[in-house]
Amino acid sequence: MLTVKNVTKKFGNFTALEDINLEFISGVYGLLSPNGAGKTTLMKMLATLIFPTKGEVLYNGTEITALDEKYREILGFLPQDFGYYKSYSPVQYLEYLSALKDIKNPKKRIEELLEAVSLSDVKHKKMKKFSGGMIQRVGIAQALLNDPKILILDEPTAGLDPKERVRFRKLIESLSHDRIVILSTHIVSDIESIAKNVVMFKDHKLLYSKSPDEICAELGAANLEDAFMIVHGEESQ
Amino acid sequence: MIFKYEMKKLSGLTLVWVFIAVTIAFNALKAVNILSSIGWAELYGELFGSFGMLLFFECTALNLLILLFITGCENTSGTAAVLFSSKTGRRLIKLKLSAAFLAGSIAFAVIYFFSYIILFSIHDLSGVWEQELSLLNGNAEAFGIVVWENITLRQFFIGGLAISYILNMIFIALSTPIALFIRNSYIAFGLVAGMVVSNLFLIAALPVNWLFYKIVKTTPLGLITENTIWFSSGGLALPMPGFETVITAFYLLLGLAFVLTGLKVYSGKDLI
Repeated sequence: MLTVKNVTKKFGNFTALEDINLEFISGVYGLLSPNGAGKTTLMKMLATLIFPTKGEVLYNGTEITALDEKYREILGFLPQDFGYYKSYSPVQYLEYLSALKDIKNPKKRIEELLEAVSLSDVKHKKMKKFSGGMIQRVGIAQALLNDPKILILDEPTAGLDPKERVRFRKLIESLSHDRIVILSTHIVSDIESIAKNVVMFKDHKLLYSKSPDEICAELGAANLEDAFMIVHGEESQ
Repeated sequence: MIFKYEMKKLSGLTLVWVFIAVTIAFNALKAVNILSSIGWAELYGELFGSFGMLLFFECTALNLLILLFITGCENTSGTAAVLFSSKTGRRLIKLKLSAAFLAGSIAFAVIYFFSYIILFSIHDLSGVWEQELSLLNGNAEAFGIVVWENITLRQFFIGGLAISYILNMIFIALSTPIALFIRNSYIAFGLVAGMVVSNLFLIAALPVNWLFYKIVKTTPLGLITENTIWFSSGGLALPMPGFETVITAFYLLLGLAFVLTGLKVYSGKDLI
């Protein structure tokens, strides 16, 4: 279990997140909020890239910073702006990341993942020639390299065409049974059918952490998109 | 294994190779110019004075570029989030610093070797290396070279190379906190360059206050500008023999402290 306990994050005088309490067990958790709500900040804290100003993040009762490499060993992270080295091919990049993730003999795993994201044909081509969608698929592959128990994906479908998004959704659904998957998105359809819980923030505070049906019932919305507009409608106008 | 990847990133950096090539070419021209215009007496001043200093500053600038590149390249390429969230990601910065020191040492060896090979191939110094320095100088005061032990030119030259290398590594070590905490490599380079220029200005322009001048002269930059008085007691008019050697050792320890403290503080900070 991954627990976010009374977490606040401030950057100088700006409060990005205030007193957040969340629990993640297994399944898909969708973070659905407008830009600037704090989704990426939360994800970076879960990925140990930044530290809470107050509160703590626990994995099975132990703070994740104390767990250090033992926690990051089971973590897979796809950031919002996935960077890469232009002169590297997908195979080279994944081999480098395998070394960083301390994966022994990663060749077979790399082949399987590139096949899963439909990049086998271009696995030795330099990534500077790739489209945005292809880069994103490399990003998804690297997040799965170490078969993580906690998978954190920040806007994973950005740049993917509809066919790739459906394929991605199916991949995530197949992976979610025995792991925690936390993904943020602006595209409601990405999570509506697969998310066990939807997390919504408003004014940098937690508003909901409930199933899509519960949120819709509470707000009297026909679907999750309507629920989003009810909560954030004035902000987005 | 990861160290190998970091070294590979550096070896693929075209700027480094261009810098080395241009530097050696420039030094070759300087070597020809030295030898065409001066006699024996001035040769030593150039050899251990301005030419040695030129090489030192070239290596220092290059090693600073290497340090800033290797510590900043993840932020520049946008790969920081992926790398630092990996299992061994937090160890990465130590490996990067090790790679910077190793690459800096290799760059030092390459620049110095080829520059001096060119210099010595043009001018034949055989038969001179074993001569005692005091005899070669003739008028020691002309160079400010006062030695407390009569060493040979070869010993003085090797000692000078060793001191230059150590001072180069000290400079990288002292620049490490700047490289760690200023995420923009260009701003970090500008800051360090500004500090170097300020220090040189203080050394050159402010000798009026004796104590201040002496303090400034004991910085690593002050040491290198006084490289003719290494292993001597006369350069700073102080009675202790080997004073410059002692303060070089002090700055080596200070540099190590800077690196270790920088790493410790860095580990507690937001990474991106």
